[in-house]
This record gives sequence, structure tokens and C-alpha cells, in this order.
Amino acid sequence: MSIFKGNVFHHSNNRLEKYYNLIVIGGGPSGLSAAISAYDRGERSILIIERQPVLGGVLNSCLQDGFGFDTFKRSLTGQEYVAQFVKGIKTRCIETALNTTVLELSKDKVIKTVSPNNGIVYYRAKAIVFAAGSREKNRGSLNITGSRPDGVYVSGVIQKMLDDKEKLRAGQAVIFGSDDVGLSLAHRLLNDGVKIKAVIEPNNHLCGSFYNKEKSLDSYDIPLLLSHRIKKVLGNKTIEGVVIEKTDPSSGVAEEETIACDLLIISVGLIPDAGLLLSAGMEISPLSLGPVVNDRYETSVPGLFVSGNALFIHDTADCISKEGFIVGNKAVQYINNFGAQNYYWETQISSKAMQVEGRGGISYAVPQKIDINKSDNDIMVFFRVKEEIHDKSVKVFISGKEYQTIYKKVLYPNIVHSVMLSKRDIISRINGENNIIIEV
Amino acid sequence: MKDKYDVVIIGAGVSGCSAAYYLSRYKLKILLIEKESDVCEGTSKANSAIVHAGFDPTPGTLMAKLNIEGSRMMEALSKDLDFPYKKNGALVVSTNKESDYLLKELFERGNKNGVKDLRIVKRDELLRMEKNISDNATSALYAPSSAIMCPFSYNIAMAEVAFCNGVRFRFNTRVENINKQENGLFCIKCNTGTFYSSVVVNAAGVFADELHNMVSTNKMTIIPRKGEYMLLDKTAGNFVSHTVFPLPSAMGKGILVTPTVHGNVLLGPTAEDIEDKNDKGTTPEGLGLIKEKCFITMKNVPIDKVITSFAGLRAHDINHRFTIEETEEKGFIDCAGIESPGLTAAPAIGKMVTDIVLNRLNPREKLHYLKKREGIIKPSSLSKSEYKKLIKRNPDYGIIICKCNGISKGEIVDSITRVLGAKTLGGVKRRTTSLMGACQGGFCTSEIIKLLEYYNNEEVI
Repeated sequence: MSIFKGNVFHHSNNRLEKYYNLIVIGGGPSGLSAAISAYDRGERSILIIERQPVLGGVLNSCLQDGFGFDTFKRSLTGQEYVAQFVKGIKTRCIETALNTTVLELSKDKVIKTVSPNNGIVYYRAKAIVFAAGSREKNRGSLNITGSRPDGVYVSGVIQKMLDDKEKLRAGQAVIFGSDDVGLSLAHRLLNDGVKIKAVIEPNNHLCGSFYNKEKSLDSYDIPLLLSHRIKKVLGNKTIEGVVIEKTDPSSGVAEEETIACDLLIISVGLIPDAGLLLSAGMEISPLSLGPVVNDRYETSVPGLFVSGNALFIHDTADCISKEGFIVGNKAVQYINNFGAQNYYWETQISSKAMQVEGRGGISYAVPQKIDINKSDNDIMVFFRVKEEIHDKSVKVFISGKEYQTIYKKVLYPNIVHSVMLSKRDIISRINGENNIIIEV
Repeated sequence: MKDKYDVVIIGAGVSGCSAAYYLSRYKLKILLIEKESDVCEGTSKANSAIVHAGFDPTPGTLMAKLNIEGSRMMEALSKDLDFPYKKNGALVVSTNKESDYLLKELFERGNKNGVKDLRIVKRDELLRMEKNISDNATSALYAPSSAIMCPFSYNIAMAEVAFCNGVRFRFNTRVENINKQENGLFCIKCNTGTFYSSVVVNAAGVFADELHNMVSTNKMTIIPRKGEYMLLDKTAGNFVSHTVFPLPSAMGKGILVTPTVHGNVLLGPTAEDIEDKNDKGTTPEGLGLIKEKCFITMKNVPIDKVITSFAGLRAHDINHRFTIEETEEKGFIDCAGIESPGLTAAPAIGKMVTDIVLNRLNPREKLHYLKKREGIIKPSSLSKSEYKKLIKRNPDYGIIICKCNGISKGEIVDSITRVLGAKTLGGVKRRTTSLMGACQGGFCTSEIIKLLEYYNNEEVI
């Protein structure tokens, strides 16, 4: 039993819980947008919990530009981009708990944290926006065999090392992954006199921007090997080289090539960092690798929302901030309607959530559920495709009946695509089968 | 002579450090030489981490005797040396009725060896014990005394106590030649210097034969057997609670499915005799075999939760025997062929080697020596008020560096600055379990490198 005293709960086992209406976990662009959005809708009891000493998240280490075309109509560096949102927090005087790491999250929305100044602190919230971001795909999840010497790092590690000391001892590096982070690291390392032997890309297309490719690779004659993957790492104590092979199955026998290097940087992609949610008992989708949510970005725990890369891997920071604004709005709606009778109005439609499923060439679709009773009039469903698809139609089926057919000249796997569904259309088509299928 | 010792131990794995741990209770000048930069860098860091109950070795062998002894000593040691240990029990699973008799053979073997409380369980009880047991499982041998432990902490703990008792350690020191001089002392030439000793303990793992053959005319051959493993994330932790074995084969105990003492699930090892003693690489074939064979005993194995894979080499001699004895050259003590159940037997191996040394040198026991140590403080194990006091005293314990496993800066700094502290990322990893989580160092590596470089005053990258 908890007794509410001002903004502090005294839990029955003598535990103090600091209470807020809205707690945002994660001070990156996703969480910051959610907090700003909630504030601008009138909510004042907000706390942002951030484990680093400063707000901003991973974008603080992104010195390459290309951020903010949508939101700010210019190209900013990652650092500059997120600084705008941090300014938004400061001008609104939204409360933050920095250097504070969440240790546990529970289904009754109690958050256990630790910080150097205050030790273990418990927080309780009416609504939580979980925006703790993603982590990088690493050697373990990429089937890279061979020895395990020093000198193999994911891009985030190298970025942070370069932030601190600016010069690494490496002489020649191989970069696995051609996204903008990988390309920009190539550029930074080249400036430090590190030779980049090659950039290896498992897809058959460049993942980053052509601008970055020109700047970092073409001007220095660094080979970009598409459709190749790192098969094996060589070296005893420190890395001595990598064995690469073609990923294209049509080429028959996979030819191998060995490239000598003393640094391997892995920059092949991100995975939602949903460990805390999984430990709290929330369902994690094996497809998106993030939590299962409804159209309000809410998990199975009412009032526990997820936003940003912690939900699924987005393709631009602009999309992440846009989503953060929406989720902040949803959280405030939840807080304001909490306990209100009209929030739970029933209609004759089945109140069970509709399942959303991606089929065929679709790797995953988010949200995975739609609570049609409580949804907005327009529902956006995001999806990714498994590989490049040309000249196909995206078909949407509601309860087994074809609803939309959208012709797409090309669907890229490194872009998040979307379809818009209308609530009215869904309601008018519901029958026994309670699902929506998107197929390519 | 300043480089003259009573005992030089070669190899800082569990065998060498166990010998050092017990020998350090005597008035002996002891040096432990290790070719890598830290303790626990060979087989001791890449194994199944099981404290075997002892039903597997042939009765009457040294292996069987030391397995049982070690298995009985390990729990008390885990308290003295403050390392993780959990008696979770083991199941050897038969997956067809025709093989059930093999379980009975293991049962009898175990009883002969002195294993307590062994019994055969039938399928319905087996299903209650492990809900994810294979649909083909018919019955199993249940060994309640089998346990899981942290081999790194155990190895490091023994080394720390030995160090505090006066054992000297020399790292990055590789033996190039050993010969016995006329004055009876062994002359040990290494890349970093020459040492002289009355007694040499050869605990050099897969290289033990090379050292043995420098001194003895009865040639020894050690064959490295590579074992590949896959480690699953902590979120797979509830999948299995006992250590589950298939029926053993000629190549060993087989590919097991076991929880680890840190909350992960470990699959493996494979078993492949190789030639290159420096080849610790995983292979697609090996990992493919694990993915296939783990489904023999268990169903629904959450293979998609793999966070890393690794390989280790086990040293075995052709006859699969432990060789723990002096060679014909008195004073040179082999501790060779320490394959499974080497980790389990380590406490007993240390004592046995010590007895041989005592017999040779007759030293007096010290009046004061350390037996116990306190490991790195784990804030998560403290009570709320103790944790509060700890953070007040040292705020570094409130800064979480390893997000995945919740390891604080205080623990990492402790691991670097304590005796025989970490000098590498691997060293920090094995002392704290940071870098071992789902992100495999993605978030914490740069912070840990910074701390290593700060406290050790030398560059890591």
C-alpha cells in the first residue's frame, strides 16, 4: 500500500517513491521531444531520467551532418540537432535527473534508479515514456567467427574514444558497415593518419548518404565492397586481419579474401535496447526486437509508452523526434483521462485489439496492435522490408478483405515505410477475423 | 641470489594458482610465471564452468579421486574466496529407451566414485524439473551435487590470496628453456629473464608437454582439444535451471545446456582435437553443430538470444589421464593433461601438488597466512542502507558504467586498482562481469578503457 504525501509516496515497506505525472526515461531526441510535447500541452509534473551526465544521447557523438532536414529545414550535425531539443528543455525548465541509471522498471510504473549523488531512488509515475534508445549490432549477433582479439569495436565505442582522445593507435582499419556513422568515422580516422583498407557492406547498396561516401571514401580511393560480409577475425592478442566473403548467394561458391588490419569497426545497424522492458514482463516482438505496442505507442501496461529506437529502429532523427512529440501527446491524454469514465466507452465492436501483421517481404510492422475503440481517426503503421523490392504493390487487408493497394516503384530496406489507415474504414470492415495484414 | 626461488610455478590458470594458493601457507619463496598479461587467460577462462558431481570419470583413476575431492571442497571455497557458486544439480538425459541402460552405468560408476544422492528420474518427474526438456527424453540421471561456478573469480581469488601471502607474479613471461644445473637447481630461461628454482611446477596447460620434454626423457604429448561455446543473453535465463548433459560419447561429455552463475545460458562445448595450440577461433561448423545438438536434450532453445560465442582449448594426454607427479628429474612436478574435470578438481590438484612439494622441500608452515579474501563489492548484494552508506562514502558506486549488467564505476576501479588488478578489458571483464552483457561492450568499452589508461598509466588503444 502506498500513501501519497505531496509528491512523495511512502511505500509500506518504508520506501520513499518520488512521484511525477510523467517520467521520461532517456534524454535523447525521442525522450526530449516527448517531454517538450507534454509540457506544451499543459503538463507540468515531468521528470526526464538520463544516465549520462548530459542530455542528448548518442547524437552528442555524431559530428557528421545530415540531420534535421525535416524539422529545421537545414542540415545540422547530430550534436547541433539534439542541442536544439536540449535548449527546449532548458527554456521550459523541465526537471531532469542526470547521472541516473534505471536499474529496474516494474509493471506498476515504479522505477528503481541509482545515481552517485542520491544512491538508490525510487520513482513512481502515472505515465512513463520509455525512450532509452538502441544498442549496436555487435560481433556476437553477426555470426563473425574466428578468434577474439583486441581491436574489434562497434562504432559507438570508437566515436566516444575519438571524442576523448582524438587519436587512436591503430595503423590500418577495416570498417564493417557503410552507414553514415561508419563513413564519418572513416573520415575522422583518415584525418588522424589511420589507413582505411576497405569499407565492407553486407547489403548490395550503400547504407549512408552519397555525400558522405564522396567525402570519406571516393576522395581517398577507399574501396567500398558491397555484398560482402566479415566471415572471420584473425589474430591472437590484437586483430591482424579479417576474412571477407561475398553475401550474394547467386555467385555460387563464396569467394574469400583476407584483408590485414589492426582495427575492425562494426557499424552495421542497431537493435532496440528493450532489456528493461523485457525484465518488467512486457512482450517483445521477435520481428522488430522492440516491445509490442498499440496504435497509441502503449505497451500492455496502460500508461507505459515507448518511443524512438527503443521501439523499433527508425531511419532518421527527424522521424524519431516527430514520433516523440506524438507519444508525449498520448501520454498526456492518458494522464488527463486517467480514471475518467468516458475514456473506456464501449461500442458494439469487439473491444479486443486488432493484430497487425506484416507478410511476404515485410520484416516487421509497428504498431503490432490497434485498439480501434480508442484510436485516432488516422492510424499510421510503419514497416520495413527485408530486401530491396522493385515494382510491387503494398497490399493492406482488413479482416481478410483487401483494403488498399499502393504501387511502389522501389522499397528500400534501409528506409522506414508507412501506410495510413482510416479508423472509419477499419470499423466498417471488421468481421470475425480481427487482424490487419500488410503484404508485399 | 635474487632470482633464486624455492618453487617456480609455470602457468596462472586454476591449476597453477591453486598450487600457489596452498603452497603460500608455507615458508617458501614462490614465483608464478605466466606468459599472458594476466591470470586466467588459458583454458581457465574458456570452459563450461561446471563443478562436476563425479559420475563420469572411470573409478579408481586419479581423475575420479580428484573430481570428487574437488567437488566436495568447492562450496566452502566459494565462501572463503568469495566467488559465485550455485548447486543447481545436473541431469544426464537419455533420449531413447535403448540408451536408458547407459544411465544405469553412469549411476553405478558415480556410486563407485562416491557421488552422493544420485538417482534415475523418469520422464514425468524430468518434465517437472525441466519444462523445456526434449519431447524425446525418456529418463535421466539426476546428480544433485553438481554445481555451476565462476571460474574467473575462483582463479583470480586464489591468485590474489597467494599474492598477499607473498607469492611473486611475473606476467608476459614465457619460458624458453629449462634445464637442471649441477648444483641441483632448475635454470628457467624466459624472454624477460632467467630464474633458478629448487622445484618447478609445470601447470602450463596445452604447453605442458613442451616444458616437460625440456627436462624429462620420457616424452609427453599433450593434444589440444578445441571446444566452442555459445552464450545466450540473461533474458533467456529462465529457460533451463539444471545443467543438462546428453549421454557421454568417446569425445567427452557432449554439448551441454546449462545456466551460468551470472544468469546466462551456456551451450557447448564441441570437441575437436587440433594441432595449433594457439588456435582459439570459433568456426561456422562448430557453432552450427552446437545449434543442432542442443536440441537433442532440450526443446525451444532460444538460439536467437545468442550474444557471443567463444572457444577454449583443453589439454589432454593421449590416455586421458591427469599427470600430477614428479618426473624422473626430481623436483620437476608435472600438473599436466588437466582436461575436464580439471576445474572441479582444481582445489584437490592444488593440494596434491602442494603435498609433493612439501615432501621434496620440507618447509615449515607459516604462523600467519591468508586463506580468505573479499571479492569486489557488489552493490546489488548489499542492503538498502549499506548501499546508501557505500555511495555516500564513494559516489563511484552510484555511477553505472555497464548498463547491461548494472556494474558501477566503483567496481570497475576496484578491479583495476586491487592486487593483481586488471590491465586489459578482458581483465576487467572477468573480474566484474562488465562487457559480458547483451551489448558486449557497446556502451561501456570507452569508459572502461579510459579508467584502465588512467589508473595503469599506459595506453590500451
